[in-house]
Amino acid sequence: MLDNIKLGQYLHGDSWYYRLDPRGKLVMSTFFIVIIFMANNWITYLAATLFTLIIVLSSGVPLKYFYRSIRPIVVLIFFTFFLNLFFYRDGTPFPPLNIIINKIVVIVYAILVVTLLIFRFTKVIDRYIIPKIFKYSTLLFILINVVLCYLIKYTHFNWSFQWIVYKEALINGGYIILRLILIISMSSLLTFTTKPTDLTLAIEHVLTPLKIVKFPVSELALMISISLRFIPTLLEETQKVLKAQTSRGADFTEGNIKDKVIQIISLLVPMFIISFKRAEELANAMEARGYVPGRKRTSLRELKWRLVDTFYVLSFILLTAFFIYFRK
Amino acid sequence: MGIQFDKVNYLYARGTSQEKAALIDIDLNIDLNDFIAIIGHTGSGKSTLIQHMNAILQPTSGVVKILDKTIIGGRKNRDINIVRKRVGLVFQFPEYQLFEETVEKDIMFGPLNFGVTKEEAAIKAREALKWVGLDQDLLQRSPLNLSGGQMRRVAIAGILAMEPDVLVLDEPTAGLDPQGQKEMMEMFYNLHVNQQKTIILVTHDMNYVAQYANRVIVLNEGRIVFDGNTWDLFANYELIKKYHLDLPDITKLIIDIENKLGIELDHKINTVENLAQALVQALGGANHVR
Repeated sequence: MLDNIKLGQYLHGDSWYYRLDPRGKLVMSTFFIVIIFMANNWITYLAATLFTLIIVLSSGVPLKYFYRSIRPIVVLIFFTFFLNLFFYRDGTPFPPLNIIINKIVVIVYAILVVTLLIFRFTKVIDRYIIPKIFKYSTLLFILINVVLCYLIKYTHFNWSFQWIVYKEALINGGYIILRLILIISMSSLLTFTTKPTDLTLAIEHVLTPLKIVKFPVSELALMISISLRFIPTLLEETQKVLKAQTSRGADFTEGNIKDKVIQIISLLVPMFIISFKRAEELANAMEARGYVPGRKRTSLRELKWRLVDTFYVLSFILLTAFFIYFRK
Repeated sequence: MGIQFDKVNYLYARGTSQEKAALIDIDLNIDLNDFIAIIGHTGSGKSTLIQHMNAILQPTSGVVKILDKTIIGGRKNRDINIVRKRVGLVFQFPEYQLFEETVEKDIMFGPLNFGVTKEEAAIKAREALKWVGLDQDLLQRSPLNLSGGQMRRVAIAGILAMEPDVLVLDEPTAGLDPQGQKEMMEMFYNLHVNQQKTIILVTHDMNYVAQYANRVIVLNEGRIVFDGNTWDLFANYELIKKYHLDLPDITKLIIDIENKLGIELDHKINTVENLAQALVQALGGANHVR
């Protein structure tokens, strides 16, 4: 059940991008998200795309991993695109896509009804049980249909609505998709090529100025790395408890809501106990090794800023300058 | 009846780069009313094997027949929950599965999941607590405030209250003190003798294997490499060496004595008393000793 959850995106490898200072990578990846919003015409977007492509291709990370990290939000990307098409109300119309919407509604509706009926009947045949046609949800569905038919036939409401697509909306939508893909590629690249420990170290360094206002930066960094460390362990424990309760007849997939609540509790309580126990053990182990919160600690891994890192930062500044010069 | 494995394969992390075969072509026939030990090294597939016995894991390919239910690999099997009532699986460190406010409620969780009424479940909880040798006045206590050994017994009572025909135990004595281990094993043996429960025991302790099991299954890298009588295994030194298994203490002692005194003894002796008698006989001094 929990087999497919992969944590820590780090991929083993070696290239110039892997060897970059994590501080530079972290700050520049964030900076990139900010400056990408400055791009607003084809030349700036082209520059941003080329820039990202060069980094991505030379980083040595196989492209399929980028595809994998974009895949989960494809729905979101298309949703934003269509939302943009709907609500952009300015500029020159783009005729091929202008549709009278009620025709589409009718077609979609017909498809929905047919698939629903097919689904119901095949399920009935599959299970060899009394037709479920008289179930409550089906009755409701039929009722809604009848009412809708009645409304369409006997009301004098104007059911046609002209949906106008504008050329600018299409272009803008394309830019939005491109922008999202670029942002995700850059930030994925950061997590792909930087070990979680290096990343927390970088966070610690970047947040160091906050120490002036007594913000516990190193404690925060330690908390982050401990959390990251224990996620897989706790997942494993969850799986064990899940199996143990399943062996006691708990069914986490079926049953009504009341049963489900009890069954979730049977999973949550042991997990809380296990987490607290682990936390206590870890706290003792840390104390035994002389950890005192707030005391200055040295780090096993020293970050080193090299010439390449400076060039990396400079390239982003150049890109920003390009954006400022060429944007509309 | 019983549990049958027919060419069962199981792959972990299927379809990823870490794909690994945990079970390879397992053919196994487990009869009811037997006491079986499963041994093998860490990572040999013991846990995976026993999790197939109550359909917690389902085979990638092959068929597992559990009592009268057939689980076909690589397919979605329906209504398998009922199997888990009849094959009770006690995981390693089962005390972590306790979650209710009282011991009674926790033991009742299993029976209630299988549709037993509240009253009946309460009666079963009482009985189960008796079987694991705990006092009835623990029933209203919180299971989380008990001692480690008591917690484990309560957890096992939670499985016993479901009244399974087969009891599968994954290292039930791990982490207990020697006295607790002994009591725990006696308890399972009593369940086996008095209630005709089929016991399948995963363990690393060869002494318990020698003492209680009629049949031993040795797993190595996902395959069954030995399946047969307990004493046939311990007499087969080549196999023991090949798979880095241990011998029971008593067998080691017998071998030591044989080497030191240059005599031959029966290697199937399994108690100290019998060994003493055999020694007396072998040394031909029965009259002098008495």
